[in-house]
Amino acid sequence: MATISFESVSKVYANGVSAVSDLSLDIADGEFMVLVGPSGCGKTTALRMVAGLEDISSGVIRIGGKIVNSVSPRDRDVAMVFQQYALYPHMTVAKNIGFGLKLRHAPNIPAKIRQVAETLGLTDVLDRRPGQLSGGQQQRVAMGRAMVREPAVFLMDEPLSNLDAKLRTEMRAEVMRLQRQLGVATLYVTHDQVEAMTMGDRVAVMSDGVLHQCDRPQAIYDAPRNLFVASFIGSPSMNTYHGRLASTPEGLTASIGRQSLRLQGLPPERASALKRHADREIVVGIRPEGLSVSKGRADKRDVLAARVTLIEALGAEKLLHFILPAGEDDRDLLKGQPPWGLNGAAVLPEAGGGLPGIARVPPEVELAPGQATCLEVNIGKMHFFEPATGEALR
Amino acid sequence: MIEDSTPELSRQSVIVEDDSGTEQGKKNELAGAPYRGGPASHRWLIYLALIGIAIPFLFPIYWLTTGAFKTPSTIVDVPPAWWPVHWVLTNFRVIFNSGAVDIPRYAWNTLLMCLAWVVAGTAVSALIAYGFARIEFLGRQVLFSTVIIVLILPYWATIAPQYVLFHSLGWLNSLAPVTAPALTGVPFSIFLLREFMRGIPLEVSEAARLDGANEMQIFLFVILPQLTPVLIVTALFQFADTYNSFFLPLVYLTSPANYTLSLGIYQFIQLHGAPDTGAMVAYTLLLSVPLLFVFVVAQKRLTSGVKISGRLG
Repeated sequence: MATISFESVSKVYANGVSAVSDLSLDIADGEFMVLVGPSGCGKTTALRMVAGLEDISSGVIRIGGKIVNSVSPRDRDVAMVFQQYALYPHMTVAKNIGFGLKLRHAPNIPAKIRQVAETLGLTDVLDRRPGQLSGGQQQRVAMGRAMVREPAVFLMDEPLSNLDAKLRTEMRAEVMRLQRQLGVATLYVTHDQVEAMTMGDRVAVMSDGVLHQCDRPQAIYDAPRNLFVASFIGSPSMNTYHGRLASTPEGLTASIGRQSLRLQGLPPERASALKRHADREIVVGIRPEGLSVSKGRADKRDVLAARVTLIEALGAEKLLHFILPAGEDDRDLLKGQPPWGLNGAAVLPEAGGGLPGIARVPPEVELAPGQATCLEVNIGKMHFFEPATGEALR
Repeated sequence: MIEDSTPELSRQSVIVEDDSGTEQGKKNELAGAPYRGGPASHRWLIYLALIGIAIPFLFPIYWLTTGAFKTPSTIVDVPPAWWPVHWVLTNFRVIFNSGAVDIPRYAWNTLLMCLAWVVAGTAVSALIAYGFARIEFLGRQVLFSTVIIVLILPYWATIAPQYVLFHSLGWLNSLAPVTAPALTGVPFSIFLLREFMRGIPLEVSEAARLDGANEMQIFLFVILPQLTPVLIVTALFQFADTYNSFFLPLVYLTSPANYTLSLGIYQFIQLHGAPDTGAMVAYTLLLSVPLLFVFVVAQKRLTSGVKISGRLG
């Protein structure tokens, strides 16, 4: 069991492409660290550098405090689960699991194989070859091959990406349970932010080879450091709008399109931090659950007038796709009209452009595409970002 | 215990109702039946075409077989006798009783030559192919291109420098020139095996590396076992090529004690001051029996190996 440490690690390929830039990250012993980001962000490259399957252009990687830059993969005491499992097709499940032990002349190989097989529910398929197994079974064999060696570090490269949705959900829990049981530092790479949020003790968000933020999942969700993290984490994505922060006698307001919101109820430290950016362009972020269908009037200052474009019923909730209108006249249409359960309500005229968004609403909300509505904004859950850099304004 | 939602591949039989007598049952049977070339009338056309293609391949075997049992005078008759009037063993008696050919010795020399090329040649070719497929080194592409060029060159283009080399080594009239080159690999086998190896995912080798395997262990325990069908194909083709080899043994093996079976036919050219055609035909028939036997026995492996190498090629 050991820690993993990236110290200003970079990887530049021969053609000049920089896959990883100045990555510094520490993974504690027993910690489940998830590296998440879009395809091509460098997360797999970072993982492969820990495994020794990629050379390091600069910086230092330590495993258990020891520098491993020039240590061969077989001597690093790491075990890896590959995206495509990489099982040995000509060997049985038992031989696949025991191959590493056989190479190292470990004692009691059959007993170890049996123990791992029992843990992973593979005892009935030990004599089969990978080609005779389902995807889930193959994935478990890959896990078993990694586990049986009792390595210092686990590396997992999107091991669940080839499974169907139902099995992926089940295996997520299984992987977490096994990791807790083994207590081994684990570096888990995924592009699925749901996996990242549900599995990691901490999540490291990367894009274009750069680490943007590393923190507990909820902390990243609640306080994204920049626009990229804010947009990438969370499903559906955060609604983001270019706007302007203004300081008025009644307090701070944020304008979105032709509408404005009075920023009442912000914590004092946040309000004073935002005041420093008053009368400047900003980017406003509102998570889907930060919006609710308002029963009040459209001219309330924490309510946005919107037009419904699509409803996605998910059973436990609905996703309400909407457009914020572009013209001031559109808003006047809604004055005095309750938006909830409208029948024959005025439909907003087609606005040029409009700002799209998604709101997460309870299943009993009855709205139809084309219908006008008002969305109440949870001001305390709003996010603000600097437009030029994308950094969060705090 | 986790239940997979994806279906498990198992050998359990699925019990269905017996609907073979019903209309739907017949439709179901046809729906699952392998393609047999379409309607019966079209099928006969295909068979006819296949027979037409097979005839030129089968005709030499027919002519050889019937010729071996004809009397020497009727073998070269014009018009030819399509079937032996009298089936005789005269030609075979000449082979075994004339003392012209020492079949056991020739067979032993041929065996040594085939073993060298089949075993050593295939093994070395696999090792070289692995280097080209999996190991990055300076000049890899240039070296591989050289292998391809050698593959394309006909052997009589290289025979002169080769002869000079073997002469300087003192290897002429020994089995060395027809066996030692196997240790440098067979260009076609190197090419074929390299392509097959490139089809094996790199992650499998990486997984083995992380499991603790060094390069040779990856080659022996991970890559080579996956090459079995292609190795059998290359070995069989190498065997056939070596067994039938005539030109190089003719150049390098000057003493009858070192002759191979293919060179034995040479002995019947001036046996009694004139070519003994009957003995030559019968000898050729005898020569082809081991090769036919090997191919019949290995037929299944050969076709599956050719299919696999064709898919990956």
